[in-house]
Amino acid sequence: MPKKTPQDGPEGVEFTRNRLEVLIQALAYAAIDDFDYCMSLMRGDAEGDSFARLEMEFTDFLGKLVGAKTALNEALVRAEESNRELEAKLETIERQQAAIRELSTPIIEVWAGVLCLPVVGIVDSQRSAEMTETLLETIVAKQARTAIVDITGIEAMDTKTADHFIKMAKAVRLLGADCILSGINPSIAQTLTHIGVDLTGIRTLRNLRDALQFFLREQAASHLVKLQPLVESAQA
Amino acid sequence: MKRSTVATTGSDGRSRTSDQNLAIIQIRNCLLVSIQTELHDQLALDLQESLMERVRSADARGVILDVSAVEVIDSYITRILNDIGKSVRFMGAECYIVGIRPAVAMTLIEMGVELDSVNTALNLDLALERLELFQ
Repeated sequence: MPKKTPQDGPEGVEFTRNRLEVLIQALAYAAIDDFDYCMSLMRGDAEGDSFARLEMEFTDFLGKLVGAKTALNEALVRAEESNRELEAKLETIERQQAAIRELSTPIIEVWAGVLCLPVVGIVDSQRSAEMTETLLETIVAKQARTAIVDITGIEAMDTKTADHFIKMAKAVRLLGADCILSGINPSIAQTLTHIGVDLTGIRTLRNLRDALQFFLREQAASHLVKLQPLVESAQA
Repeated sequence: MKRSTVATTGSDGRSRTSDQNLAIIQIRNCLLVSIQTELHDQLALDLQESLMERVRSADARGVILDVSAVEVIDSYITRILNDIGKSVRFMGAECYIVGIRPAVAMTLIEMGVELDSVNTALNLDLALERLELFQ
């Protein structure tokens, strides 16, 4: 360690140059993140001269740098931890979404050839597409002639959701089955009127009970119609 | 080049077009066509022609098209199907399409395409039932 006593004259210059070299060395070590060795180089008795001021400021600055770095590292560790927590939460949400999808489309055969799809909760594009697909496939599989879509469990509907249901009903009709929409509440009724949907061919009834009664009455009536020709020919 | 689709009637009442994919079977006064392959444009046009002739010669009151083997129905085919429905109606018969696949139905609804000149039924049995009601 060079003597830190300043002198005038050529030895003074030589002395200052030594201290300068120490400073440069310290900077070099700081640059490669070896703060410990860097700090140890700067330790020494403080002098009163003007160069000592540079040494002091540098040591001060170094201390702050080390402090900042430590704080940054701690912050990074915390950030990584909360990132991991968030990812775990996202995974949970995904698993729950899958479970909800599994539960969300029960299709119940309430009578021979009559299917009922009770809709509860939020219906977005993906869910309505899945529900429609499942309903159509079940209609074909069971050759069900009537599908009752009950929306008692839906509080309110916007234009997009209403559109999904209209498409669902139209797809059912396209297959050749009847579609009954039941359980429309006042708010949804107003929405449907307001957006002016075309519900031709889609019967709307108050509730599942009315829908079933309607279906049974139609059944009885069509049996009567079939009997008509026999009756007429008997009377002739 | 127009494909020839001369229909010949066998002794069993069956009619065969030169294209084996379009067997037209007569059941009472209804005609049943079972489409076994993809309904491409030319096939649909041939079908239209053969059907009209057959409706006339058999004095048919109903036409039933079974599309359960068809995976794709686009807007052009839909137009032809609607045309068949209208023409058949003019000749005093009703047209029923049975066996539309769920995926096809969803696509048609998404496209906003309407099969408005034909009726649809779940299966052959139901279609025949409905056609009897027209007697």
